[in-house]
Amino acid sequence: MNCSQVTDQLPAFLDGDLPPGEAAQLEDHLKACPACRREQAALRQVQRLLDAVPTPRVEVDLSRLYQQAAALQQRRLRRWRRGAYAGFGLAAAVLLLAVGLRLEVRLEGHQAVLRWGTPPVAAPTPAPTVPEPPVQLVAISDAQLRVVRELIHALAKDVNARALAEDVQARDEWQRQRIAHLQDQLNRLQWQTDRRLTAAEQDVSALYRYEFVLSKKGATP
Amino acid sequence: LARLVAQALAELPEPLRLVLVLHHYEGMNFEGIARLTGTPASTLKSRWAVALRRLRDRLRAWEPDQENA
Repeated sequence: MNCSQVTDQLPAFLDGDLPPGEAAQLEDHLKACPACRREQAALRQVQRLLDAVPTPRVEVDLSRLYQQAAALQQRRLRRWRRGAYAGFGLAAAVLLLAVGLRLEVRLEGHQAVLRWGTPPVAAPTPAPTVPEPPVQLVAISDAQLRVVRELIHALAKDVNARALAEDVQARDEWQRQRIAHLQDQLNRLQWQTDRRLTAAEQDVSALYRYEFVLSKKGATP
Repeated sequence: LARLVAQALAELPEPLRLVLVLHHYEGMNFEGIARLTGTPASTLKSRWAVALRRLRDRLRAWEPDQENA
């Protein structure tokens, strides 16, 4: 270790911040070098002077520093959370594909194999004489997969439309029945009203006869 | 004496003064200061060394006067 290196390392040495090996080398150098010993003494003197005075007022905005550190921490947390969401989304999509389409991706020899549909059920007791038919493997391209996906979407739309149509028909039928029922009730009310009207007319004519016809003749009702 | 040390501290550029105050007076280690300020710990260590040497020069220039006084 030369003087320049020792001068560089002295502050860390005084802090006790040097690895033991380097500290020992530095101490060896100090024993042999008066100039570096003077440097060491001067730095010690500075530290003692700093210790001798109370914490000076310096223009260091500690609260700003803490705010910066908190903001940094929040940014890291947000980034981590976003990454986690993306990972979960990807995993969910893969799971959906695997479960929904019963997709099977496999690397075989020099080709990638993509298969979907129900996996072939292994026969519990395979006949020893008849060899099992080979599993149908379909290697499909992205374009074909896209066509299949569109087909599935179209089918789903069709099913939805049919369900909607059936729903409308059922509602129409129910409303028709309700209208018929109301009509029935209305008719009954009409009939009752007619009957009451007839009865009232009969009463009125009877009264009339009594008041103006029979009473003049002296008869009792 | 305290006034002169404070004056010497006040004359330091802010990055050096910050390291000095946090490390020497607040007793923080360099890794802690690095987390707080976002400055690498190695940079802070060399700033600490520079600050000590500047103070040494500043106070050495002043020492003879103090002895005479």
